[in-house]
Amino acid sequence: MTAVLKRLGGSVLVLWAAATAAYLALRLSPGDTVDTLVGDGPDTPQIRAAIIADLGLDKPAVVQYLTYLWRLLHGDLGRSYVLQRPVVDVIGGQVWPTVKLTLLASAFCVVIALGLAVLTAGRGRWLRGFVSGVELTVVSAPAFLIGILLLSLFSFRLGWFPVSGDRDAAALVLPALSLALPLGGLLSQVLREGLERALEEPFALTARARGLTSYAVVARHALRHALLPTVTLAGTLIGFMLSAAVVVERVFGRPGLGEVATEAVGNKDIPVVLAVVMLAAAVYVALSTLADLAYLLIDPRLRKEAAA
Amino acid sequence: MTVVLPRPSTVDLRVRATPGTVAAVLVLGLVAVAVVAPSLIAGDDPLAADPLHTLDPPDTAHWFGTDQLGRDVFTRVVHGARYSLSIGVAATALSVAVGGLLGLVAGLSPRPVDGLLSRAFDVLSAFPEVLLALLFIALTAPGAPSLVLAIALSFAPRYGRIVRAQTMVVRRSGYVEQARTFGLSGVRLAGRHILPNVLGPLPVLATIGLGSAVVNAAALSFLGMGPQPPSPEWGAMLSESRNYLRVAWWTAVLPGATLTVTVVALTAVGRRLQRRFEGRRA
Amino acid sequence: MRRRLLATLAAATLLATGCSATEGSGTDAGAPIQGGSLTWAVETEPITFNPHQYAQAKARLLVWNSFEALLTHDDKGGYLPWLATAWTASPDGLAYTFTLRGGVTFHDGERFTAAAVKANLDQLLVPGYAPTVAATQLKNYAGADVVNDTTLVVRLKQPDAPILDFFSSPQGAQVSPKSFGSPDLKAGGPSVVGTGPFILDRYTKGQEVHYRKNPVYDWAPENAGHQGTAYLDEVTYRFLKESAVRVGALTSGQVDVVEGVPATEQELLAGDPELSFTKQLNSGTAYSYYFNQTHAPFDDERVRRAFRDAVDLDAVLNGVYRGTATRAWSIVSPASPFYDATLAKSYGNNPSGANALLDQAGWSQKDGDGFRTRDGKRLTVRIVLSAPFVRDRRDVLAQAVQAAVKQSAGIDLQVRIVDQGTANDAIAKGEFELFDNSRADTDAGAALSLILPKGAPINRHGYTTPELETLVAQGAATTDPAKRKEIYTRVQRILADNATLLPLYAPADQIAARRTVGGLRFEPTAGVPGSAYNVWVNR
Repeated sequence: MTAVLKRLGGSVLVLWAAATAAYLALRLSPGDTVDTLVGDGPDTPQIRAAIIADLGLDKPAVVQYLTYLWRLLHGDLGRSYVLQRPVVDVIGGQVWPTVKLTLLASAFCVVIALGLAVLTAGRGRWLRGFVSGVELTVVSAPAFLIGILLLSLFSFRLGWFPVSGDRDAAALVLPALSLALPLGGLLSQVLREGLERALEEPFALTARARGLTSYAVVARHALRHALLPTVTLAGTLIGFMLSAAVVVERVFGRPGLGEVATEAVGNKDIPVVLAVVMLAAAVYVALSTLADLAYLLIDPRLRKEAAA
Repeated sequence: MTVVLPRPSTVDLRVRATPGTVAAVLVLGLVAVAVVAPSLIAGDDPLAADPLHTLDPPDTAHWFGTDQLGRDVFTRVVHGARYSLSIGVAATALSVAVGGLLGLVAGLSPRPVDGLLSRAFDVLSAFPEVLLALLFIALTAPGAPSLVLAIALSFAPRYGRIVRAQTMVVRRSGYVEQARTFGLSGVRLAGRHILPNVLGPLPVLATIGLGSAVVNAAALSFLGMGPQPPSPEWGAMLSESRNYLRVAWWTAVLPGATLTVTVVALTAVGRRLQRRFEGRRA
Repeated sequence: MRRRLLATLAAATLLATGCSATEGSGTDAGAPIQGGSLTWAVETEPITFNPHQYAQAKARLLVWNSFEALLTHDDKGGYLPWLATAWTASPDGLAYTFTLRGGVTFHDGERFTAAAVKANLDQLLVPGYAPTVAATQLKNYAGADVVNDTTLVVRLKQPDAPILDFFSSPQGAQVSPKSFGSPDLKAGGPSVVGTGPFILDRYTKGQEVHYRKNPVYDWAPENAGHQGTAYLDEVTYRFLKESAVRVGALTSGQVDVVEGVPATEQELLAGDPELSFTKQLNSGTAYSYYFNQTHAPFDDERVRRAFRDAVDLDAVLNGVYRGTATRAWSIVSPASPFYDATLAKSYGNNPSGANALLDQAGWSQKDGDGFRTRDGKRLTVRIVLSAPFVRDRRDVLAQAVQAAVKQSAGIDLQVRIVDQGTANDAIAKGEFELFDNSRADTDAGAALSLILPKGAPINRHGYTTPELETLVAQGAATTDPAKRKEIYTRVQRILADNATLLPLYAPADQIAARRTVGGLRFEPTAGVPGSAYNVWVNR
């Protein structure tokens, strides 16, 4: 229990520090903060006055910082002066498309990883070598390149999937696949290593001695052991997913947080960029905390160790 | 994307050069030549346009075909290696240097300092790499220098953590304890015993990390945050050629393939080095 | 009778070459059908949906779905009644009396009255709201008097024939006065409404804008193709910036219509029996690079001439547009009746001449990269393209010109494609040596008065002479087409002699559609794709 509380406390600390870091980045970036916030939007004395009032720039630094944290706690991410709207309105509608994309990508990723790992663990050299080569390639290829190739083949040439946008479920398949292929390749490598190690454990040998086929051993016993280490990779995977989504959204002309952020960078719409970055950090922290907690719960050894 | 994999159970102690590794080294050799002396492999001018031969498919005169301005794609890809690789190398070097130094300091420092630095790594790695880089570029300006700094910033915690962990291990290991009982001072201890052991794995990690850095640089360039046209940077080339995908696949596919092959080679060589390194220490 | 006469006088000029014939293939859509929905992929996402703020020719096809003006252009260069049923000018040309159509309502239920028109005019003059309109189209506007609900008198400071062009332009479209209180007024959207045949009910930034039929609509102009409500129940415009994606969406059946079909894609579409393709040249000015004469190096006429001569423009256009572009030789588009055809082939593709001129101008050294230098300074010129205005692969064209002037004359052309704010900033600070522009104005004369007079909104080249000023003013005040043609011919020759600009090509619009789509057309005079009012789908 203490371990869980400790982990949660650590996460809150990281979140607070991330928010502070973002705040400092804004305030310490070269140039006047008001100029930075105006970005490429309309620039009038009224807007400048509004920014100063919004941020309390006329108040002492401590008050400004506390006001910022207070607003953040209440879900107030500030205002886009370029778009003349609250940031929450700007990004609100873009959250679901990105979540949808990453969820489906995660599902694809798990299927790819499990499939490849189970089929090839402990298999012949040739098959294993070939699959490793493919994995290395998809892991190394940038997600946007995979996206471009999928788009060109399945949408342009074959016409199986829509070319762009976010109108129906079919439009989700290729972008999710572009995200899932590199991740699936990576995950299957890790999974296979784990599987092969597990297959050498005494229990696997016993099971095989009892006459179980090797697939059955893999499926029933070894997989459970092998899955555990992949949970520790969760953080990396989430970070990668959110990063790659930015580029994949652009390739497929999808709405989403990444597209909003990219466009905001172009317009120098700093409040929007900051909000997306912080949101992503919050999601990252929340999910990796969950993964760690799950790990604590799954692995009794760790639980004991942490309690000790 | 690459990640340092857990050490495999069956360590290949007989490090032989497999055909794959040989091929990877050859690729990297070619890429190195392209970076240092691109004109040895391809034409002199990646910007030379020929409006009479636009979007010509690959043939003997233009191995990779020509693009929308009639520029030789092969020449552009070869000259582009300098842009893409040097951004990757500079960003990796910077992040290894800064991350490594902070990691070392964290590993050697008393708890409060170590705690602070470790938290800092945690906080920085909470931001997804590409988004952190985007934020950095938003606060500065697009272009190669920002790109290098942005990628270095997003990669530094990676190296910081590894070096810190390594430092801890070495510091607590028997021989350092022994050296301490012989009365060696902290600084000398760090310099003579800890540092070499800590820094050993860094080149290997950097090789693997370089692949990620090159990919991230290309991704950010693809989004228009890097070198501007007509620079033959690979990501920028891909971004420009997307519009011609239907009529001229070579303008996108061949630069993309080059980028992928380069990163595969970097990763393969890096992993091979890693195995070898760990094998030696085992 | 009077109104017709005036309308004809005002711009009958366009008769001659007014609208070049539309090229293209037919459809199998059959007779018009009520109902259904249509998806139309467009290249440009508008910066704004408020017609008063309109600036992108590519956004024009959206404007007339939900907004309407007092007058509209016919295909002979005259005007037709729309929200105004009649109009007369006072003999001194200082007052125009508009008789407005009764029974017209805005989408928010407000009645369209003379007071509403006056409110629109007042709003346009609010400082900071629409400065370009206030400074140009309305520069001679003195005030308006509401006589009764359907009669409005517009007073002018001095005679201004193009004022009728304003009342038929997007900027002169009528917005419900109630919308002026919207917080989104400048950006437009569902809360800023007009009287048009469609109601904008949904806008998803970066994705699409959706219109539904205005069920009470019954005031289409006589040349709109039909009367009453629109055929379609709903129409969605999707913003697909990349041509490959746009055309891919059409061939794979996700959209019914696309506009903006680049040359490489036209080749692909030509063989598809399911699709129809049409294109038309825009009126107004040619897409051109204007030289900034306010500082070096283009303050030297020899350098301007050298740049103009250094480019083998036919080869460049052929490379980028694969033989589909119409080369321009003058500031005025070849599709305009004012175009001076004698300027064709009067300059250009003369690298040796260009190099000799540059040597004379002192740019005689070359540096390690092959660029010319003078006193150790490289011959660098910058052009800043604003991303929302980049269309027809103008970014690629800029790079092609960049390569051409480097190869043939050692000029370092630096191309930057930036967001609008950065572009405005660069322009304001004078950090450019070239700027690009084309105007899809219905009257090339209106475009010229935006570009040429001293202090005009697009006079960024800095070249003015008293003679030019006088000519442009005369052109605007004259109603005789022959006289205007004479005046504008003189203007074009002065500009060519001065090497004020490098004209590139005549902007054109293309529409490709499934053959089941009927009623697609180009707007008379402007030459840009029309609204969805008369479009139907035969499924």
